[in-house]
Amino acid sequence: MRNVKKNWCSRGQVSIEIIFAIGIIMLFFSTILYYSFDKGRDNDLHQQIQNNRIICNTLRNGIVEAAILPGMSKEISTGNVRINSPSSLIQINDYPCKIPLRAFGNSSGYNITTAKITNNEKIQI
Amino acid sequence: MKKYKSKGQVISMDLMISLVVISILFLFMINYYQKIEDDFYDDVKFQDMQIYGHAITQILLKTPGIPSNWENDASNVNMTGIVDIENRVVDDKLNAFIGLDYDFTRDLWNLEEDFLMEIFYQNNSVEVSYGATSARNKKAVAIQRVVLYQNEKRKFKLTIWE
Repeated sequence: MRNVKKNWCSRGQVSIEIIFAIGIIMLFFSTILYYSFDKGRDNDLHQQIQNNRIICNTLRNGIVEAAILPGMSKEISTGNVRINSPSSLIQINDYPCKIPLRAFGNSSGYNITTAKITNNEKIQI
Repeated sequence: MKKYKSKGQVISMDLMISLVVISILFLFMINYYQKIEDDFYDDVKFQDMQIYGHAITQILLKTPGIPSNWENDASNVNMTGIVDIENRVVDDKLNAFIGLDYDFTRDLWNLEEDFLMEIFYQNNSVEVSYGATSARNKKAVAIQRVVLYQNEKRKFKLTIWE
């Protein structure tokens, strides 16, 4: 009869496999948790980007319409808008909003292009 | 039936299999999240290109440009329009426009992407073309309008691509 040495745990001992298994399960769930939180953060970021895009599009349409129809006055409610004049780049909460008019902000170019912020909430074209 | 372990063996076959399965699950999950993220930014980029193209088309086809006689001195143009009244393309302005340097026009429009403007005959052959070569195998948006050119209806198309 073969003399086989038994590799079982003694009472009170935990086998290395169990420790590995618990470690892997913990790693798995912590990764799921991490990605869940990360996904939540991404959703917030995506929502913020979408909001900024809506403001940007409203603003861009307003500026283009105003450029097409000189003399038209337009007031658009926006969020936190910053205009880097005369570079024609508007930033909405750090979201760059391009305007397809090179000299936007340089009023010598056109009649209507002076955009100004009122109470940090409204932009007047 | 008895199962024996040799001395020195730590990881059983079951554990190895579960490790592989969990690793595959990890990879799928990470790829899935990354794909969702990439899709979101791709959609945003694509939609922005559409909206931007629409704004440029409006500028081209709704206004004579700024200054209104910019075709006489194209170097001082602030806004390019190729019509005298909405959607009626004028030869002088169109010729001045297609005479502009491509990069100058992109700069004028604050456009980072490439573009191609075309006007088609009624039989769909190209009559006027201005811009970069067409966007094969690229993510592109096209904005089309019906315009009046040389007293005939023509198809106007502006294509923008990354």
